[in-house]
Amino acid sequence: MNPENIDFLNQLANSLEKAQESLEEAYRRGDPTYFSKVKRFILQIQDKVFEVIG
Amino acid sequence: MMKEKNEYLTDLRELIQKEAKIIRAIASAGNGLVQSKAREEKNMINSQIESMKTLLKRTTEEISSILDDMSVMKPLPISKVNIQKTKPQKDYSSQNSTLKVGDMYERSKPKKSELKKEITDLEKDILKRLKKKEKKEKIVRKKNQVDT
Repeated sequence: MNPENIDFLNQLANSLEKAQESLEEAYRRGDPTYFSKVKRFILQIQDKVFEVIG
Repeated sequence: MMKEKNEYLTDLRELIQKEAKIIRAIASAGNGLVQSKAREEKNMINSQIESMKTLLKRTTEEISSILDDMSVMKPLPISKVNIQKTKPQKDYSSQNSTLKVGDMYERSKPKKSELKKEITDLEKDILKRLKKKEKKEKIVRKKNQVDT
């Protein structure tokens, strides 16, 4: 794991937390389009994390 | 079993916070791995990272299952068609007065105008013939009375 990947992992963790807030908002608002968008984004972050840590 | 709306949100929030913590811990361990020079220390950090990866996988799976269970439905559009109010039907059974046979007959009896509409040409001919027959019978009866 190189220093760049370490920074990237920290950024992904921050993005994940922010995405969770957005997902919560979409769910409360009952906005299916925004909800599925954020949901897809969360799943993409998770894939990226596993890509980095191997 | 389906969860309540708030239960999903609480569970998801906790799991994502846990996931972010694990990711940061892995990043921190990775930083330690870069800085450490001793082999033993590196091995120790690597094993820590491996166990954190397992935990991260489990947490990710839990999050995915919650996300699959959560669904947001589009509200149905409000119909602009006015539904006409129908008059409530009278409840005859609850009324004190008893229903007479005559009343039923009156209700079921069709109007004269309706009857006229229903009579066909063929039926008209039959009626004419019957009237003629009746007239002839009357004449015969009168003749018989005169003869006696």
